[in-house]
Amino acid sequence: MLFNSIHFLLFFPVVTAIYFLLPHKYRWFWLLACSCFFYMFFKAIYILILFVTIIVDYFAGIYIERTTHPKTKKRLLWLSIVANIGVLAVFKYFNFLNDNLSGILTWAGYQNHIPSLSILLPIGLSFHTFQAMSYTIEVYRGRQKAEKRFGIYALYVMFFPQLVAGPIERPQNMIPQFYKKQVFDPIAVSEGLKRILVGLFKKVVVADRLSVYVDTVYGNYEQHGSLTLILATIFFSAQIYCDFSGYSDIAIGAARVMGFNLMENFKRPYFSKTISEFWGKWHISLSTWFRDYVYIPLGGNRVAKHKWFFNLFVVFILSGFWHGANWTFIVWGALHGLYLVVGLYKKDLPKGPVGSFLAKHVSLANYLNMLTTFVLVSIAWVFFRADNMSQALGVLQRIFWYRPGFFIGEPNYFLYSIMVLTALFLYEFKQEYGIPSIAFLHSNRFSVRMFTYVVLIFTILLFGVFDGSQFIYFQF
Amino acid sequence: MVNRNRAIKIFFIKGICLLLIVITLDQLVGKLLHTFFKRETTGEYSIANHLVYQLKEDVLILGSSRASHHYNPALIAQSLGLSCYNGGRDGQGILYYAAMFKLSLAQHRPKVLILDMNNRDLNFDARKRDNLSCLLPYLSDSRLIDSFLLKKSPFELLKGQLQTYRYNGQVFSIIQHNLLPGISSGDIAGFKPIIQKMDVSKLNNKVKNAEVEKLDDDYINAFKMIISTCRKNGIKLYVFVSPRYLSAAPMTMSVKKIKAICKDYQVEFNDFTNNVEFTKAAYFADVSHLNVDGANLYTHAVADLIKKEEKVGDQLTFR
Repeated sequence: MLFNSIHFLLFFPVVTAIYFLLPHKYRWFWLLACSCFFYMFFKAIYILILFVTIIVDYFAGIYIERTTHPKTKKRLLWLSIVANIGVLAVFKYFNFLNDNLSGILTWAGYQNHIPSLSILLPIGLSFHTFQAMSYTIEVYRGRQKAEKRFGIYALYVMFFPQLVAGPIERPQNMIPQFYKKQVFDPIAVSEGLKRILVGLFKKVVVADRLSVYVDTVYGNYEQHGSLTLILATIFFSAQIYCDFSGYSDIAIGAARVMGFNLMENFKRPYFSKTISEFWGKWHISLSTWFRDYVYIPLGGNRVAKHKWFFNLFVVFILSGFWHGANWTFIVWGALHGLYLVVGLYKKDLPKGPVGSFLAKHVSLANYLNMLTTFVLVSIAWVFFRADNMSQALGVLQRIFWYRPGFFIGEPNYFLYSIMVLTALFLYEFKQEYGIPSIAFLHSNRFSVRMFTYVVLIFTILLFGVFDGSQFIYFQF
Repeated sequence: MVNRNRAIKIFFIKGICLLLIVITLDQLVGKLLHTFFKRETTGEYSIANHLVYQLKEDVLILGSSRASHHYNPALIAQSLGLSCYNGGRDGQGILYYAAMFKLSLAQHRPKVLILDMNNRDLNFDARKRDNLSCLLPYLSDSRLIDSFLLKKSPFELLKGQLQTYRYNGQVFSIIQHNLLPGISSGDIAGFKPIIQKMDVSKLNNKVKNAEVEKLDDDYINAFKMIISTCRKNGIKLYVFVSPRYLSAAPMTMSVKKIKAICKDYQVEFNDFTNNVEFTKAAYFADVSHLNVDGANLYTHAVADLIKKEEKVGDQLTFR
């Protein structure tokens, strides 16, 4: 079920109303049943895959806690990790690995006889397997008690607001919340609904509107000039941010309405002054997952410099691979790894007159850094957006080797795109720099808040795109 | 506890207030937009508006972009001595043609309907179902299109209850075509001639994989509905498949089905897909669309065919 569908609009109020009407002891079951229904709306049979990993991880958690043998603990942890990664490997990476194997064998003069699998990728697979893995790792590390109630553990993996596209939660944050009796809190409900409204605005008004231009240009990039491709890439940077952060807003808002607190996933990343800062603000739940479970166990930055840089590269290449089984994602990850390493080398301001000028004008230097970071991130998005490496390189070639021409497309839609992009920038700017005199959704005056709700609702109705488009991150 | 109950009460009162404001404003804004929408005589909706609100012509042409670029109503009018209007619209399929036919019939009964069918018009195509949202503004005028909107989604009529949703994505267009009506949409009685000539050197010669064709029952039923409505109302129906550039491919399942249905219902069917008269690149703007030269030549061929078919003595039977 998509958050931007009428099904969810009907599903969510019914689920929430019954949730609050039920006695506390039955609520977990209600949420679990609704989460199953939510997931089965996409492709019902795939719930079996989820159940298999849930069963494996549930028992792995219990036995890891129970056993006193460190080696057995480790074996059980590996069993759980292999089960989760195994599911990912079969459903997400098998065909990619097999295709590459075929390429290598053909090059060497051999034939690959392993057939490709014709299976659909279960929706949100990478999200819930990572969430499940965080549970067994935390139990292994002794930072989380193994959950004895199977239903509660299943709900931790399947809680519908964050089931298919995160935020990737940690057991320490989520499991205790399922035990706590949530009461109908008008303030929390109101905050949650505001968050849902903002998320919907980001998704249907900004992301889906911009995607019309982006898809047209990228779908036929050979016919477009440099300026068009630059604009389409900028639009894509905004589109993917609004698509994913919009999803996270709706997820966090929906959970908040029911009394749950999910972790923040985005903190206005395009205002970052460095790539390192960007990764502290973009898809926070995934970057902290990689930090805690890959980067730090590899030694993090407490190792020799060359090993540190290697660790960074490994994490970012894995992060790219997590996103999709395609070389474009791996290059996207590697590029971010490269940015980080270069950024660590070139921490200081340039020397000479330019450097001393920027040292005197700190805010100008900050804006320049923001712009540079945005440009670097956007260049990397070209690989993320492209269907294959040749398209990505083709787009970059046309951007850097000037080709004339500028494409507007349908003028009205182009105007909408510019308008919504401006609105987004103003909204984010206000959020980032917290101008207290301008408060809309959180104004003390009821009339201002009411006016803002009405404007947002009518903007969504009049300018949103309602073709039932999926969220980009669902495919991961 | 008392405070919490009071807070809950206030929360629901505020919620109801918001709901009432939204419902009232939705009605007001929706009515206002509809008033200005109906006045659009230029722009994307001008042709559909003509069919729904002003149709008075004897010959009506319906179809997709191929219809709008291929049939010159002036030539048909000249040849048959009947007024003619081209109601073709980009990116649409048979469900749209059927819905517009129903809506236009409520306004006026033409004598002849020329239906231009694409070679894949009866194939399942989710995008064409999505495009049916362009019918939403006419919900304010007629419920005849309810069944077509339900083909887009079972919830489309429910969403359409929101007056403003009906004008989703059109606010700027409504403003533009009301404030600046002088900007022409470039059509002549619905006909949108294309001046440019196809550059054969730019054609993509890659051989496409054969698509798996899947006929759509809703599309087949809509086609049959047009035929039966024409019969019921005494409208002479002609079904055409207009030319394509070098389409030596075998007849699609869709065209085979169209041909079979036309045979069953004894409807005049003409397929110009592989017509030898239209093999010159100079007649085309791209592989799917004729340019103005090709369109004029093709329209003459269509008019001659109708004339030949309908002539009894010196009179046309439907005059």
